[in-house]
Amino acid sequence: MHSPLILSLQVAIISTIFTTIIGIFFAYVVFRKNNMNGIADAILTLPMVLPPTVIGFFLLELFSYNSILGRVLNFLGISVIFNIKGAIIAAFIVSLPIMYKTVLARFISVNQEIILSARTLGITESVLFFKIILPISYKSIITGAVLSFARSLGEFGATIMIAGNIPHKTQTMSIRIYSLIQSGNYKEAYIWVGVMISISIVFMLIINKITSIGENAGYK
Amino acid sequence: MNLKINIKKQTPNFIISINIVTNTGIVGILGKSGSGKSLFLKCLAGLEPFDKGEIILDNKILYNDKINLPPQKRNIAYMFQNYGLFPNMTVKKNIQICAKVKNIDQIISMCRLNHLLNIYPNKLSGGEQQRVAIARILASKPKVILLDEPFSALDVGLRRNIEFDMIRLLSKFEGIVFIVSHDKDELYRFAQDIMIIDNGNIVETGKKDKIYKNPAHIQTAKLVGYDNIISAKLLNKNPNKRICIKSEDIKINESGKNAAVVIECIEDINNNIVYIQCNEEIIRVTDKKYYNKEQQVTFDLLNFIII
Repeated sequence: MHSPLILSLQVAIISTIFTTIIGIFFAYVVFRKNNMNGIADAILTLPMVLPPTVIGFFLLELFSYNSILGRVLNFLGISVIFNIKGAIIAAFIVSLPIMYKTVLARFISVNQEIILSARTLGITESVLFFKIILPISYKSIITGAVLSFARSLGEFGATIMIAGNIPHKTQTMSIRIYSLIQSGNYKEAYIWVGVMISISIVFMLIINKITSIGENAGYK
Repeated sequence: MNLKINIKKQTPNFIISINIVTNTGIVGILGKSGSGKSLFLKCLAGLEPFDKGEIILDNKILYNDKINLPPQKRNIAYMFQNYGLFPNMTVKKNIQICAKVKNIDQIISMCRLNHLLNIYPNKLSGGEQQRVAIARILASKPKVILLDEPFSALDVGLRRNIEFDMIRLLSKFEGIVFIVSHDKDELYRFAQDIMIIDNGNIVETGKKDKIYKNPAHIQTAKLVGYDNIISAKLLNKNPNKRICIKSEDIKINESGKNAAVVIECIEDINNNIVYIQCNEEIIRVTDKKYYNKEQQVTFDLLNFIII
């Protein structure tokens, strides 16, 4: 028995963890490999421009029991469709471009002199990344993570297609609101709308707070 | 220490083609803006690819047809115009993270950074930032140091003091230093050898006194302060040759051998700048006196070279 709030938070937290790590990873790969970044960037940005229903459709095809991946997962006893895991994957896919784009923009704006001098001073690529580039980019990483979290929390289209609308199992807040309005229960719908707006405002305030911290630190 | 460089690189405007062998000491690279000086340093450090060539440092191949060592493995440290200090680290951490020497304390005190160790780079003055950049470089134990316009980010008034620091620190360095600048006087104070680059090619290279006092090429003469390059016809010599004269080596006097007319006189702090016309040539002269436009004058050349 899970309330839509708990389910939504569960989906958003887990997907944000993956989005953050994988988004940073892809941003760094694209940042380093100039020759491939046109195609890679297009693919990574695609979920941002495609309608969530299209993403949901692709995910359904990818994880359906007829697909190879679906069969392998089924064999391993993992089910994604009509499952909270499906909702997490949907949230991850739609929020990945937000993280990736935010962090990539920051990496690109890091003063080249910092990166190039580090290299000539013998600093290895991993130290350069973990001790210099990543710490200087912390604000963008947090901003990207908070925005991804908010996007995951509000995800609806792809989620309903892959995870369905099963109360206490896959019914997240946004799907709950949809169901309530469908059944004419505006009173409860208002409550969930209120909850969603409150959470979103809190997160936006957090972003504003973070991005104003150390504004004078002069990080370039 | 011995460094052999042979680099060829096609750029949109010209081909960089540099082939030199250099030993321990400070080499000044002089050239006008966009002559390929900085690009040459970047190729050397492994920050910029080039088409073909060879770089050998103390019998170790850094680059050839098969080998291309990353910048990390070249032992060539590059100091950028704005120093590239790590903004998320204190002065001490900036030095520590690059350190290959056991004891950084000596470097810290040599660079007079003891009182700044826990400060972040954005709170340092330009001169202090530069000392951190040098400390970081010395701590990384390079064999070659590349300085790209090291004073361009500093106020003119500060440069002299900071230059003194830098000369003192570099004089203790037992490797090769390349310093790029378009300021001839600055380079003269730093370097023992000078390399003149124009359009990606070495025009002339040699001991600084030879280059500054007896340049063999017009481009060199222009860069080291011969601001008048005029036809040798003036002295009834081979008209295909050029006379190179510094403006301070021309004396306007009453009994001069050459006649000219003043076309402009610009007031300056110490000496006024007088432009005079003699035959078809416009000559720049510095003089204490003020001359009126179209005034007839005579002048002598005190010191000049013919190329």
